[in-house]
Amino acid sequence: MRGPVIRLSLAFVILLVAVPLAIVLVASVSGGERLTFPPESLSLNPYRALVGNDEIRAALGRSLIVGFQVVALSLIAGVPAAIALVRFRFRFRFGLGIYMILGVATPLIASAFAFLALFTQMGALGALWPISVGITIVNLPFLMFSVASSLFSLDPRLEEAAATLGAEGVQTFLFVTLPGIMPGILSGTLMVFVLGISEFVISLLLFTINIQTLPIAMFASMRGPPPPEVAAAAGLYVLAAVLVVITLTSLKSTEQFFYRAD
Amino acid sequence: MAETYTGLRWRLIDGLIAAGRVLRPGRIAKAQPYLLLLPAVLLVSFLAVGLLWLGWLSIHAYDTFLMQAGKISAEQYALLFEPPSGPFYQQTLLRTLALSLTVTAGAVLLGLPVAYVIIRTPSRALRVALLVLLLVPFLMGEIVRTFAWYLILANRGAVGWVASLFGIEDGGLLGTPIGVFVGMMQVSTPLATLLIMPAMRRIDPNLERAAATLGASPARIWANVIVPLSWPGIVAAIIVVLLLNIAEYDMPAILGLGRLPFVANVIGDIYRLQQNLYLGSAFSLLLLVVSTLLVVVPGLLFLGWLRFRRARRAAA
Repeated sequence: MRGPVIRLSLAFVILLVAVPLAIVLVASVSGGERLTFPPESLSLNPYRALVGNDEIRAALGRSLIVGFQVVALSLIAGVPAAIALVRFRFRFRFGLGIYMILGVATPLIASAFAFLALFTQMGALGALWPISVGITIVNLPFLMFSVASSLFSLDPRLEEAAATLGAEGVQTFLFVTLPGIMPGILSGTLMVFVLGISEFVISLLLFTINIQTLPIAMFASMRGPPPPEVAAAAGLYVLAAVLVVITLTSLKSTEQFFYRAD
Repeated sequence: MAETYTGLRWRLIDGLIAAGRVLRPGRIAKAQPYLLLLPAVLLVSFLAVGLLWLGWLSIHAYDTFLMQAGKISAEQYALLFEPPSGPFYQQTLLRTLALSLTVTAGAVLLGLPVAYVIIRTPSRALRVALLVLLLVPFLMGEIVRTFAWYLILANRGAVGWVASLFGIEDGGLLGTPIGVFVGMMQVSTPLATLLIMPAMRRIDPNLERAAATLGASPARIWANVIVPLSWPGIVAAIIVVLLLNIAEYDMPAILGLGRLPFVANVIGDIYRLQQNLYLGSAFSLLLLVVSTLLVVVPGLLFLGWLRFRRARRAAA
């Protein structure tokens, strides 16, 4: 474990992952008209520019709406589906489980093009909801895995005990199952939310000029030298991701999810 | 106030219980898992129907001048495979596959040791810190990762600055395959690590100790113990990372300066510049088929190999 090859790879991967994060955060507090490295001075100007730029601010608002729509759709579809697949034995269980991961098994650009073709046919382009539906479908498995891993670690005997003590099915669900899987629901929700606000390829094919989401607006402004407000937006995304990840790890369900310490 | 709230809450729960009693009897109970799955199945059907619709569009002729669809024909696939346009599309597909496979290989090779450190370290702090660091790139979004690497690789970026400290004046790494490769590695390596971990965790540390006691070098322990026992995780990592990279858009567009387009970029242009849903459908489906073959064929070979090995061991 202390071999030089392992140490070297670890150091390299840490650099590979951490340097871009640091660069974005530094750029987001840099002074000066243009983004350069190292920055000419430090200031909160990029964030002020972000607030002052109506177009970027509107795009941020749209991305947040998409994020909330994605969360709502994922919860309605994902939580019951995860419960069904983990707690019940029924015909077509395997096939339906595979069907649920269709969104991650298809290359993203193909899924995005399928949404484009379908929603064009339906005449639904130009609204935000098709974007949210598309994003939900390709990220649904993340919420389902998260809920399912909570369900696996919840002893089914607790539910049986509640039933033996005379609790109705509804009562058992509300007071035993639901609190038991809450960490999984919460971490899955956070995950699909940040994936929703930062999604790019589906939005790229489904957006029309009046409904640019923030990643699309950022992409458009990166054709030339990127203006400071883009750095501020990127900084916000990094902060959101860091916050969410720290919450996930403190929930312990993530550690369980990837590293089941039994 | 609090009392009315609790009262209301219990009345709501009583109502739910009553509803449950009415709905519970036999036939509904049997349908319960299907009812629970219904919203998700309906939602995913947008994608399933969309993919079928792609198939239907892709087998139609399309007049790009009049912007009119024609009869059923193999015209779109001919455009993809036959000159004059065919070689460009094939070259794009090959470039996408070559770079994706390289990134996947790199990510798995780097992911193995990192996963090993996370699994075997006695320090919980190091483990959590590494997990946090590995999850952030995945959640910060493609465009932000691309922006970060743009700042690093651009002409007056961080790499250029470090190089200038050593007296090297270069034009930055934008527009080179190296730039695109590094950018894609930032999310691929953490993902590969996270997917290898569960399989690696099941390896009994005593196996390594036993191998070491018997005189095996660290390299030999890796080749004969750790890697073979991590196969399920490695296979999962290869599949997921490959699928992710094959659809990459931002890195080739921004870091590659559009000089090294991937399939996704070309599909995007076919729609945005030519407004041609028909050709785009055909190319999307071609990518779907190729990626499925890339995943399924080695997967089947791997399963067959496992079964063969088990049978041979049972015979011995």
